[in-house]
Amino acid sequence: MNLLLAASGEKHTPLGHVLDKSVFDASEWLNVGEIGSVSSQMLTMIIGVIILLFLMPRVASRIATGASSEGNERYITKGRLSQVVEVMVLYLRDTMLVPVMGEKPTRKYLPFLMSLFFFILTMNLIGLVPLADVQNIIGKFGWGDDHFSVIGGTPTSNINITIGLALVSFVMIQIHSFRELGVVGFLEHLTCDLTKGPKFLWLVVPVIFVVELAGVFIKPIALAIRLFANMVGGHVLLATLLLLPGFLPDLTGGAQIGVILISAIAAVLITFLEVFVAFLQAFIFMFLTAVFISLMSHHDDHEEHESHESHDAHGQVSDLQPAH
Amino acid sequence: MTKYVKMAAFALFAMLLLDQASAFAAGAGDGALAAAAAAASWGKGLGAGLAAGIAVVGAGVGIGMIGSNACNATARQPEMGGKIFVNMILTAALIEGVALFAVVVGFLMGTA
Repeated sequence: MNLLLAASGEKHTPLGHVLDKSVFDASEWLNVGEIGSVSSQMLTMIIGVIILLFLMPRVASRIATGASSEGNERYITKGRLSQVVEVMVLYLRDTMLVPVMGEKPTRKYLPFLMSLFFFILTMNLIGLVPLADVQNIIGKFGWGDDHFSVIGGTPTSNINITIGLALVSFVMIQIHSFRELGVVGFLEHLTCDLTKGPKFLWLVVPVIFVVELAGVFIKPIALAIRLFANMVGGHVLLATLLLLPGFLPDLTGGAQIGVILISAIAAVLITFLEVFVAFLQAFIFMFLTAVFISLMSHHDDHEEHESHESHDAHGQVSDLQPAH
Repeated sequence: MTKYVKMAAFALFAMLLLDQASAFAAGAGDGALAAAAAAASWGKGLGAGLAAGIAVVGAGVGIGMIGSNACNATARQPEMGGKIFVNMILTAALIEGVALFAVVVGFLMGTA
């Protein structure tokens, strides 16, 4: 495909900075992804996973309530990263997930959803650290090859990785729905209870059934494409802004300083936006997985939600009062 | 039962991490072809630009409406400002996702 040609060409193109690069050619015995061998985004993902595997158990052991021999000290979370993670998890659980899913499903799926959230967040944030550009600089001044990079790139800007995450979400949604509703109940759920209404609605049932069945598959794919497109779009925009000085003609004097200055300032501001988008897209992926899981529950579970409306974690009254 | 469900989900997750199935399997074989058809394919670029551009118009209008209604609601009841802001950000991200679907379609039109 032409995408691959653009990446390996001499020119630096904005799209070329986002695409995968092969690290070493292992395609005789390992055939994965578009590249067919080990790629730099894959190595970056493995590094992100190693970071998570080392950090998260320590954080979790500090958040957990300790042995009762410590007295009341055991409830305090020590350490800055642990406190940040605890605040994030508590906020997401109490104000985002419990109103959507209810108490019991939240407790059941919280490990999975939080793993999803922190995995996507780490992958998104690693993409903002300029690992590949540092290696380009090292390569240029070391041996003259300014395309050299081993690790770098955003793992979640690879459609293969996001489809993999969406597949995991899809499997969890189906596990929940088959456990709650059973196979026959699942098919009935896809008709949106139209078969229980007046008889003339039975004409609509085939249409609704086909649309809902397509939705079962399309919703996780939409999750994957949303994450992928947000990450690729952000990095292509950043690369476009940073490559703007490359189009300058060879002027004498300081005429090029203006373009370079504006390009640098804009790149910094867009990077702030990218950090926000990284958090937001990780949250959206997790939250929509939770919403799709909750859609597949029994509808009589919604009666339990009424008791949670009267107060939330901050003690504020959540049903709207008429303005006086 | 939940322990085996968790183990199965983790095994699937690990397998997917280690073996990413190619989404563009057909395209990988053509990577060595020269760009011979580049001369006659001006329509692809036009289509890609139009796809992305027109879709972003819809997203802009939609997110503008969300923002304006959120401002109105916060002005009517300032103590609900936090919850309204969170809902606004969430809905805006979902609509932006739809616009980005069209941008991805534009990518595929422009280069394949």
